[in-house]
Amino acid sequence: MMRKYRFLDAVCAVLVLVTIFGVLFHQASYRLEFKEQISIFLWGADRISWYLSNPGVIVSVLGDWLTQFYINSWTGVLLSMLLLLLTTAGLYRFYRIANPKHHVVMMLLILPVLLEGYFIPFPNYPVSATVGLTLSVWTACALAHLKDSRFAPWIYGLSVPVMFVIAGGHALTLAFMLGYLKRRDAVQTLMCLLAGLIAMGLIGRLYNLTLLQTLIWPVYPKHIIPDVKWLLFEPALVVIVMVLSTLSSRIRNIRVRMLIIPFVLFLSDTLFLTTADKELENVIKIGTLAYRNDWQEVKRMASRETTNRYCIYYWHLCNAREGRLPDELLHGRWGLSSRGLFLSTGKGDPCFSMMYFTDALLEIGDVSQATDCAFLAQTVMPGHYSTRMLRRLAEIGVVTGDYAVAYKYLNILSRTRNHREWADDMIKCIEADSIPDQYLIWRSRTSQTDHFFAQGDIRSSLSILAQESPYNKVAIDYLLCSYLLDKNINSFIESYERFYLGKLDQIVKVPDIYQEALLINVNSNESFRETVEKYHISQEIASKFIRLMEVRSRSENPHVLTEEAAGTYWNYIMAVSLTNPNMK
Amino acid sequence: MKNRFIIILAFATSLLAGCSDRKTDAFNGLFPDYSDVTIPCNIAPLNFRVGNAGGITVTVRGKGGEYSFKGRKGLVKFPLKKWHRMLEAEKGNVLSVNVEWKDRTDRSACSESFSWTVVADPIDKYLSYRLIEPAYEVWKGIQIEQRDMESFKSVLLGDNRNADYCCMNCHTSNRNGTTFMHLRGAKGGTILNRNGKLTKLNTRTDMTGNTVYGDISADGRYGVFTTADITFAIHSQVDMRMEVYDKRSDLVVVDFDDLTVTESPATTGDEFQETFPCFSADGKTIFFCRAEHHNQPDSIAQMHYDIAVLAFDPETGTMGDRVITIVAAGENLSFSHLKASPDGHWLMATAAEYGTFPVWHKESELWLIDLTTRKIDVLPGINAYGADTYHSWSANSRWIVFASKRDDLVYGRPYIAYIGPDGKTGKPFLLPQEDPDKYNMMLKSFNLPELYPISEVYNARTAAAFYNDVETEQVQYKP
Repeated sequence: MMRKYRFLDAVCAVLVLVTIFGVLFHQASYRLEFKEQISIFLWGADRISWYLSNPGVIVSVLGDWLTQFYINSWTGVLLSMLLLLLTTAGLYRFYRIANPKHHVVMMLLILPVLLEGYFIPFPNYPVSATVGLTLSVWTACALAHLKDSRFAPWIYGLSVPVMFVIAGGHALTLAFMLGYLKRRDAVQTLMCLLAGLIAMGLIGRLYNLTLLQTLIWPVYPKHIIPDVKWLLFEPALVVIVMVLSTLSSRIRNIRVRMLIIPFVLFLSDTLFLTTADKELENVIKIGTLAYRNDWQEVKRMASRETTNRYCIYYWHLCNAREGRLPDELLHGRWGLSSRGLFLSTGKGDPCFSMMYFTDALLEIGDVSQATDCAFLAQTVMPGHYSTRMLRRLAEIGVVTGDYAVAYKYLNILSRTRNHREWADDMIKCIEADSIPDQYLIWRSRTSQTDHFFAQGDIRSSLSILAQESPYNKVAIDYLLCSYLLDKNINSFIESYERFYLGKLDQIVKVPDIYQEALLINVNSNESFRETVEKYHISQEIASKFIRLMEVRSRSENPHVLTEEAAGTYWNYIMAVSLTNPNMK
Repeated sequence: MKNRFIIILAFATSLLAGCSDRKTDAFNGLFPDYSDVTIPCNIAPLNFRVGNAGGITVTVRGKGGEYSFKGRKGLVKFPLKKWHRMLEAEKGNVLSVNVEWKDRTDRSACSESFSWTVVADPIDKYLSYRLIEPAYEVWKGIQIEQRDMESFKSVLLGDNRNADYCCMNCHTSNRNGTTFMHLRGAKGGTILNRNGKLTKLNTRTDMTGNTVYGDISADGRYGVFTTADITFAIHSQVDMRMEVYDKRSDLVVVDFDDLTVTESPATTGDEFQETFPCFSADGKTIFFCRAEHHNQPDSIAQMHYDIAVLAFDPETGTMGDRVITIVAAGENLSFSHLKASPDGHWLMATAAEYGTFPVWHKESELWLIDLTTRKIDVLPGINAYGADTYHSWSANSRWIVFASKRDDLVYGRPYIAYIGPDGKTGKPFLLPQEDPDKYNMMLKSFNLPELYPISEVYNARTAAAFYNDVETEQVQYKP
């Protein structure tokens, strides 16, 4: 019978772990990869002193070191799984030491691992936190061997603050596990552990941490997970499941035992369905693809996701890079009006909003705001160090010709495992004065005269760039398209006349959408002729417009009009107000 | 056992594969540049790095003898006690320094010689500064640190991660035991330390705004502050970054004895904007910057702040009503950050092309005004390309510290310079660090450096407790 239990338990535990692996791989691999982008592992006096100035020294170093291997969509999953397996093995080992005569109910023991698996996909849940749990569990295993020593209570009490210094808040897990271990002669041990916990709190004060920060370190509150108090549930859960396992191992009735299995499976499903935030995964995936310069894949993905703001933003950016922003503007992605073209970078916005927006800002030549966004993104991240933003800041330095500051970032990156080659190549380019063409193109689009605009006032910035560089087509298209999407025809015409007429229209074909928009305000035959002549409207579009006006004069039915104007800007003007007035 | 050993070996190998102390050739030569600098007799060791060097030998010759030091892996770390013994013995002397090293690439022998002038006037023992990301409009990790200038010890005076991530700024001292530091945010206030007694003040009243930049009188009784509505705009020009400006600004004086705040009709109203006040050494004059109001940011280039003075009566705590301009800014000049030397001889100001926030103005320079002759020295020996701002005097008026962006134009670093009794200056040098690579690796600016001789009585924990638990004492408006 016992064998049967063990077999069933083991099978179910494996099932749960496979579920975690599957969910992580399919639902969260890019979120795990993102961890590498928003952290850095450096080894130098300054970083060592930073590590030493915070608790959880060992797990922070190990966690940051491991994070640098989260460089693609599977290594992060594998490493996370490895940590979870180690934790599971540690819990199993500990239980066997604590209860040599009891059977281990793996299905219960795996619950804390399940909870940790729930936290892991949060993009800025640090790897060091998982390392902290693993280390605490195995330290508990090591200390469990001393349980019969008469000094055990004292050693256990002392181990808690020490563990806090090396592993952070998971010292609480250690304290709970040791408390469970010595539950039979509890008073002395509990007193020692309590003293240890108080010492841990006091040490937290020495590190300038509040009690909550002490208990959840190295997780930063306000940067993570909706409610960080869930993190405190984890150490408690470790002990709860041990107690439950002890009780249930005495149950001889297999049917009762089997009840646990669906419970755990149900719980794992619920947890992972909550974690499987497909939208967030897609947001991070598309940003990561752009980071890898895989623009074809970005466009392919953006073409599939038509409602996600970040995908719409990248859809427009891909088209802008190809010089086709106006041509593709209305292909199903107008629901957000001009908000789909730009990302917001206010205080409450997530860091990837700022990170991603630098892509478009550099493309249009707004280096000032690109720098600001890169700084902001770095500022709002937990560790304030991001390899991705360091690369971006270095690129900005190269674009602006501020090589001194570019060197600073490149020098930091050249000490990292993953970005060394890129940084060294960039340094060689600077030293040989052979800046890659892409940066020279961006440089040619930047502003050389000085004007002011408020942070986030992208239209003012675009007007300045358009004014300065008449052939900055990307900036001019962004400006005109933003007016078109907002149905601000007067501003569109004004900007068209300032920046396009007699300049860009001399060298490129005027996009149909612009020609259509230029005809919107026509209200008489006379003004129609004037407009066609002034803006060189093509015969085809002029005829289309006449046809539409004829249909309109014959029928007031909006649907007839919409049908006639299908695929044109005129349709957008009508369709947006007719079909989807409140689309967000 | 054998298996375990193999696992450990494999782990160690993979660990090494992940780590790297490899550096690029981007920073060859000596860093920081400590060649031919004038240094105080009590400064911490001027540790430096030599790019691409292996073993290094440093030989220092002075009147007191010859001192030899060794460095390895391109880093010279002077032993603290030996360093201080050397400076003590060589007070007032010029030291000749010879650095020899072997290039790590081609094994060629290299050397460099320069001098250090050791001045007998010590610098204040403590320096405070704010560590902040260069994006000024959002803050997540502000720290205010106090550094011991004679060693590398530092303590945190403020850390906003345990104070609701509030903005912390302007740790200012009168060098006689009185300091203040502003904490913003819902539970914020101004932490005032008067000879060890701490209070948290709310200096905002119905009639006057939040106090910002300020100075404390030598006796510690009064504080003179700007009350300003500060905002910012972004420059379109690539190398200009951002412009911070005051929509409006006035001056107030806070009496820390009576907990009252007063203002003068001469420094209120919309016609002029006043900012960066400081007391003269005798406390009877307030220096400040003043400009005619223009609409900002559109006309910000028209904002040229003069240096003006106003009488102050320390007995009654009242400001005079007559403003006298002592240095007119003119068309392409604007002054800010006024600081009077404690000996009453000098007034130092930051000069930029326009505006009131020169931190991002690459042309910003420090100017020294002789208050006895009104002669202005534009300090060519101290200034460099890149913003030089936020200076602070030592208690003996012989040293200044200032934040300079001369190294990379983005990150401010604390530079120290000597000002002789006759106004002659020494070449500025970077605040020494145990490992100077710290400057290359950190992504924060050293902001608002402030020198003072008496250690601050609180630390970050006390500051956080003050933020979270201590009620503010309300300052009353005194008409």
